[in-house]
Amino acid sequence: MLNPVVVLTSICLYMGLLIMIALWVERRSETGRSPANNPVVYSLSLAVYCTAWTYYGSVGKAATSGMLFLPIYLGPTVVVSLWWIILRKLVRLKNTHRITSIADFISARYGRSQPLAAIVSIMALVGILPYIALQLKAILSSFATVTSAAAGSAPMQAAQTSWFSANFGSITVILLALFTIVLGVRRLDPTERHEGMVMALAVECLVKLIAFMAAGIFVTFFLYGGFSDIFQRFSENSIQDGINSWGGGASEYFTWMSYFILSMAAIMLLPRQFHVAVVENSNERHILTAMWLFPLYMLLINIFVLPIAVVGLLQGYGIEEADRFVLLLPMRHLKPWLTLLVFIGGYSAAAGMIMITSVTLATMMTNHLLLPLVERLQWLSFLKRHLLRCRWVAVACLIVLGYGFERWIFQPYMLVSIGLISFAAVLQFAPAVLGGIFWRKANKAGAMLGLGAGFMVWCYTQLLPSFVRNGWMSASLLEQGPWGLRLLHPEQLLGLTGLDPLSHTLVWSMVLNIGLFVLGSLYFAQSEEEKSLTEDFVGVLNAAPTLRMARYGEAYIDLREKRAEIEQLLGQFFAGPEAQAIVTKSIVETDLDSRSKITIAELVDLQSAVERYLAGSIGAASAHRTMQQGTLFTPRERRDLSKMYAEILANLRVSPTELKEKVDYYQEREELLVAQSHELREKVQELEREIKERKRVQAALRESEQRYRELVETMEEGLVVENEEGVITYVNDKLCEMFGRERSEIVGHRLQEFIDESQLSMLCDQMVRTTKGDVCSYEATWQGKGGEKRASLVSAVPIFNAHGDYRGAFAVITDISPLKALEREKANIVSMFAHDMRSSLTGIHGLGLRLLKKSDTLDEQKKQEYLRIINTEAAKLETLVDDFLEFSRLETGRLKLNFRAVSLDKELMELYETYQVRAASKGLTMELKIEDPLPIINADVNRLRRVFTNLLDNALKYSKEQGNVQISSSETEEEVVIRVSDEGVGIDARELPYIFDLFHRGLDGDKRDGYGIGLATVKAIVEGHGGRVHVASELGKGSVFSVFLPKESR
Amino acid sequence: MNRIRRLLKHSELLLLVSWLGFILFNWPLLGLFDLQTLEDIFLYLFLMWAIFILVLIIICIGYLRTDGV
Repeated sequence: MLNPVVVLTSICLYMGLLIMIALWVERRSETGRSPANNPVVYSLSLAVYCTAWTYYGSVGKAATSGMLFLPIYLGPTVVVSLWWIILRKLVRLKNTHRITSIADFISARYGRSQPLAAIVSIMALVGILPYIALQLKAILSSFATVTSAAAGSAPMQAAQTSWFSANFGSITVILLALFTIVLGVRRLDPTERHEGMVMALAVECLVKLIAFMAAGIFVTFFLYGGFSDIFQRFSENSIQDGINSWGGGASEYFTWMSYFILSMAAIMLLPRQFHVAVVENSNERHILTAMWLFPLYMLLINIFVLPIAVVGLLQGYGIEEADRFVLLLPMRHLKPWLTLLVFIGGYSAAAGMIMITSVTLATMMTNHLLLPLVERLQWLSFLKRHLLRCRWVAVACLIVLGYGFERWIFQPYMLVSIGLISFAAVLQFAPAVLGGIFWRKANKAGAMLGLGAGFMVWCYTQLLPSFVRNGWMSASLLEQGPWGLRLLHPEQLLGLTGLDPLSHTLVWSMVLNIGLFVLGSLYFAQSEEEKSLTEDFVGVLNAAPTLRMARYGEAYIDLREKRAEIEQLLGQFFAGPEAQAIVTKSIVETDLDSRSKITIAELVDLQSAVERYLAGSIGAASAHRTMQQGTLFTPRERRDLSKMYAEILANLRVSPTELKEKVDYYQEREELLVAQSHELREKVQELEREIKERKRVQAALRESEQRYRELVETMEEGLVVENEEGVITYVNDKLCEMFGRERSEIVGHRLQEFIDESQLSMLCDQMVRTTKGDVCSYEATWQGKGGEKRASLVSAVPIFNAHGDYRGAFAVITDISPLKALEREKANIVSMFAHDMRSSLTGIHGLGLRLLKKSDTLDEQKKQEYLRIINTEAAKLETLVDDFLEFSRLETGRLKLNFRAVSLDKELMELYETYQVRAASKGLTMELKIEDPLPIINADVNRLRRVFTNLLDNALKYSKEQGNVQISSSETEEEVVIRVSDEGVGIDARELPYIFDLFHRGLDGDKRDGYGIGLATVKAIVEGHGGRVHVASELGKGSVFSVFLPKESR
Repeated sequence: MNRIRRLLKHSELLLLVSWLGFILFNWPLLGLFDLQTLEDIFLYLFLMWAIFILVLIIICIGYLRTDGV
């Protein structure tokens, strides 16, 4: 059980929130950025169709009649698929004629007939009032349920224990009336659109969906193991009578189809649905979203209806409690928050319906019942000035009347039964509405006859039996028929038995309604005004923009005077500023804002514009009547107007009858032209789409081509494309560079022209192979413009078309000249190495042989000399072999370092001492500059020695006479730096980038010396220590080699 | 693809779809299926309903993509 105060507080907070949302939306809409102008909001607001009847009643219906609750939502789903044809027409007409309600629509179509509008308003009022009562009944009943002492017990007994519970009905009525007035009738709006109210409604619809689904999920998946489990248990249970009543018989199908048809009509013709779908529509395109989103909403809200009904029965609740299963189940399982959420959802469903229905019914009551009455009864004319207050009173009266109905009428009926009675009432509007927008011959007489007859049948077959069942009339009426005439039995008219009461009403009301509508329309003629309106309504989707009447005659009418007259006319309904605003808008709309005098034709335009605005507030019929009654045209102006029409006829040289025929002919022609222009527009759109697609593809191709071109132009290989005749058609930049020629010197020629003559026959053979489809790879030497030769590796690929014909080839040409040069260099070095080794070995071999053979004859000094030479040559050989071992390791990346703690100071001192002697022998000076002791570092001491001996050897070798060689050291935060500098010949700046390359022996052939391994070894060893080596040199002044070693080994 | 797009724009297609909906959800077709249990009927109706909505989504998106609608 929930505390009544908590429930009431929740309702108040919820409604307060909705009001705040609505006010926020209205404020935003004033700046033109309304969040309500949105297809999703529009679609959600249409779900006002799902009232408390859906929320509570569908479960009740499912419990008693199985799937029979579903056609009420399947029918709308089917008819919604036609909304782009039907609803779009209605929306377009609403915008043209400022339609405010369904009564206004029917009246506007049939000659702006006030009696017709009044009939429709009365029908809507009588048909819908019980529906409002039904919503109030749902609110009060659900409140009593959630505040009752125990789920399943008599609810009111517990609820009456508190004051809140006792007065909940009155509080609800007051709250709902205030809520509706604040959101829907706060002001008179010429467009009758309420963006704040629509947003609040959309939120309510969302809340009820979430709440119902939460209950459904709880029941289906938390209480039971899903849909299958529920159906399984249900099939095993004996309580199946009502819910499993689908017998597949003809009468069931008839009932099913009746519900289906009734709901198809209700989804558009119920006053609240018409209001939300047509009047509140801000953009025709929103219909397209609503066409799928709204059916989806209905599917979601219905998917748990049957499971809840089944579970309610399985849990032992009685059929009479079925309407409340959705509340009782969470309550029984002690889920107070879920219960409150479900209650708020149900409240939303009911409050939303009451709000929209009372707003639209109040509009109909004031526009089509009160205003015509005021026009007849002069003493009531003061009410015109209080139209807004009249609507407030109407809203309050409707809700209070609904409450009265709930208290005293329809008590025995279940929720669904009451709803269907209302559906049957609004079905009577269908022939007049649909005939009005699709059938040109439909007229006012037919509409009045059809509506009247349908309504009478509805009253006799539905309303009367409900009175009998409430005990207001004699039960014999339903037992024997009136005056004992069974043929007049309200539920078996003319002896039609075998149908349920609703299907019975449907059959007879539609037979009479449609029959009389068609017959009346054919029998009676249309008035002239109706004829002009017919074209507006039937051809609204094809209508070309209205052409303004020609500026006819002399501009002698004082606009200021007319403005005052119109404002006075509007003053009957609006306060001064509002009336002035409407007139100003009308003047701007007719392009008269810069004028002081206007013509008679322009006055007619202005009158039409004002009438359209007025229709937005008081309905088309009342607006038309008001404008006709006014004294806007003076006798002279009336005369001029007649004269103008007469002159038009005279100028056209036709009689009125001929003019009518011509107008008809041109109207038909215009329609044909409009239809053709629509077709053409569609074709143009299609072509535009195709062009767009082609442009997109072309752009993609261009982009792709550009990408490949860039790729080809920036590749490191040369590319050549030749046609089937072997003529070059394309070469890239690299190939031009390789051939040492301009592009124009290559394209248009043949590859044979650029190859070294000695290879011409080989190239021809390869090209023949390519034409046969082979992919060929071969080496070729090309001859540049200046005779220079360049070796390359060629990969030629043939190109064939779809038929297999040879269309040419492309070849990728890689420049291998540097590789070839390197190979040659290697061969030279190996040859040099072999030669050097051979020289040393020959010396050793010769001297050794001499020592062996002539050891007896040689003196000791000679022997010693030979042995010294042998030793020197052996040492030379060792150095050679070491160099090549080092070279081999460098080339294969197998250089391994043995790290240990090394004192660089000590090593440098030892080197200095060794090399000082050698330097002195060459006439050079040598210095060692170590300012501060260097730190101990981890290094391979032997390798480091090799680095410094290489550098010192070079320094001594290339120093000039009396030059100075210096070893110096310094340190930074992270590195130790050792520099070896000399004052030698220096290095050419062009050579510096290659000085550490393997086998680099200088560019100048004369100065080439050694194997080009030393400095490459230096670089590899230093980098192996995580350091780097740098050289700075100036030709003729000397060089400085700097070795940077990290303090911390990496 | 263009033909399908053009087909989706014809208002006659909407008439066809609604007619199919009327047939699918009503007698006599509903009576012809072998819907013996409540679960069968429930499954048939909700499945058909979902498919119908899917068709509507496709058509409506087709319309929405058309310029000038």
